Amino acid sequence: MISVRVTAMAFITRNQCLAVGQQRCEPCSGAKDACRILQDRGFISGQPKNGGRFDPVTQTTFAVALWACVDAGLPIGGPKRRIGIVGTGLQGSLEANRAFFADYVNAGRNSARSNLFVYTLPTTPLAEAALFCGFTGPLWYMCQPVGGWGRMIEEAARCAAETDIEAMLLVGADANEAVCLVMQKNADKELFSVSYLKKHLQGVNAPGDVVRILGVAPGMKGS
Amino acid sequence: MSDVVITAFDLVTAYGLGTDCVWKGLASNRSAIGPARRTGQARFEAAPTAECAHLDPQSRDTAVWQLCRSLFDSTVVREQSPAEDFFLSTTVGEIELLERSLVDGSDAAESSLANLCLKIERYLGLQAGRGTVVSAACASGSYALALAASRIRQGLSASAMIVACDSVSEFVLAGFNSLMAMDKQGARPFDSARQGLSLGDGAAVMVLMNADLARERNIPVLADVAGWGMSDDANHITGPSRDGAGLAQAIQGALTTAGIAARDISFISAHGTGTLYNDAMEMQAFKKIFSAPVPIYGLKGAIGHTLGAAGLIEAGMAAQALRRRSIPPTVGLSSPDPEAAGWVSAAPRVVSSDHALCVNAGFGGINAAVILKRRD
Repeated sequence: MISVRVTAMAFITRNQCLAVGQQRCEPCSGAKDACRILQDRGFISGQPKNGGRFDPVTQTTFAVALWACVDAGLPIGGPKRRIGIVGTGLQGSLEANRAFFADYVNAGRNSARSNLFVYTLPTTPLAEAALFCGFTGPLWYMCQPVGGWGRMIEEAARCAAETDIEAMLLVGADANEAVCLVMQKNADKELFSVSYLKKHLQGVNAPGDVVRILGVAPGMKGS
Repeated sequence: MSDVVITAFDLVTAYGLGTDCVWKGLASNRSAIGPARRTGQARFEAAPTAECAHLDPQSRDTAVWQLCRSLFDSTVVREQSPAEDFFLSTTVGEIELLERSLVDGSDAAESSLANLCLKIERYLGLQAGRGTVVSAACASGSYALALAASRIRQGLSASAMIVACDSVSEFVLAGFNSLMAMDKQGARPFDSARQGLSLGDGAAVMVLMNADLARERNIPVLADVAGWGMSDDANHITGPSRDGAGLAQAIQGALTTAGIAARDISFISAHGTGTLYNDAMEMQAFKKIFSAPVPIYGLKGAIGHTLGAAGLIEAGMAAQALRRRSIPPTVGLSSPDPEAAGWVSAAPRVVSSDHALCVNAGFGGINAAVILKRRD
């Protein structure tokens, strides 16, 4: 019987970033700053090549995925690894869609900008993280209003159990907050059990609600 | 572990409604791609599209909703509803609602994928909010199929309905135009002169079932869903990996899940967008897996690239090909790319063995492979 455990968790807001397993909590001024902190601490060697064009959801998704990898002790960059990423959230790429089409309309409906179009898929923020980290596992977006994170955890855990991947990241993000869980097969450590999360996060969709329900933010020590 | 079978499939494309209609269109080797009409944007006239003629551009209903309703009023859905699980596969859904919101100030959130899922649930009389939206760029349909099949195989569900849809829209046309990814002559997958893709309207519905349940209910089976594999290139945000390693990994995963060897594959339903890099990447992937040419065809020169619907449409038509023991021509092909010569053909071909491989790839380096098995 393959057991899948949640081994790490990260949370990014406009003013702090948390690595739950390592009990690391640092003040930051948003996602870009959260990435800069990782670079300053030596966890990453540089910033993403196209980071300047990231839309707000991609910025938070990217940052929280990296913080979760640090929390889990997964190497970032280097040789490619079979690690999957699934993203969730009821809004999908709505804000990026609006930004792309408003720009196109404002330009007289004659020319659109490819660097905005790229982010009009809910998988692009995940793909930016996979590209930077070198993760080659399954990558997709899914959401379910009723099941919320409870259902997404079930799906991500099943993917981790069924396939040859070494870890699965589950990310939920909006422009201001993002949360990421790391699931691993037959791991020694466990932050939360999958069954606990399925039960307590049923119907929860907002990243901030995930953290509040799990009660991981209070009492964390600063680095 | 339960066997997973396809018990129903229907679709609407620029050829019209139903599998027979599509099969006849493909057999005629006549492409449904033509001048873009619905968007009314002069600058896109140079980019032909495969639009469904029956859609009313003046309707308040979006093109996607009109496509879905064409399908939902068909007998396939009515006869086999309700399934336990419901999945919606799409990339942009009712994107016209976002276009309108910028003009008339209506709520842009109406265009969210989750909202379309709820709308379909209401229309079909399903339990609201229980449907799952799946989006994986141009591999969305294959991902939805794999996720639904996985739940049935694991015994978490006995049946699933998958709806996949996307339409030609000004939003997407403008985007692909900005990427200079469209062929002014219409998509020509695997052709040496190919220059890009053509967008198409498309929607499909598929019902999957636990094989035992299908037997109990005496429901005919179209094909088994035998295996699936997914991967990401981690190489480039829009372009595919040049060496095809990511797609090859997905194919290998599907072969492993299906418990078969590469030599058991009878034919391949390729992603075949008609872009230089996609088709070249696919051939690299196939050559990593198969030691000798396997018959390949692609549908996108005929019905255009239907984005989030493509994977499900192609899997459903591959099931038809397994049943007919014949694969359609690659419409739009006249002079095969040297890398694809001996694999693709502009003529229909007879196939003998029992397994079909369907592959898709999309932005973000997303890859998916699904293996179907003929069931007598």
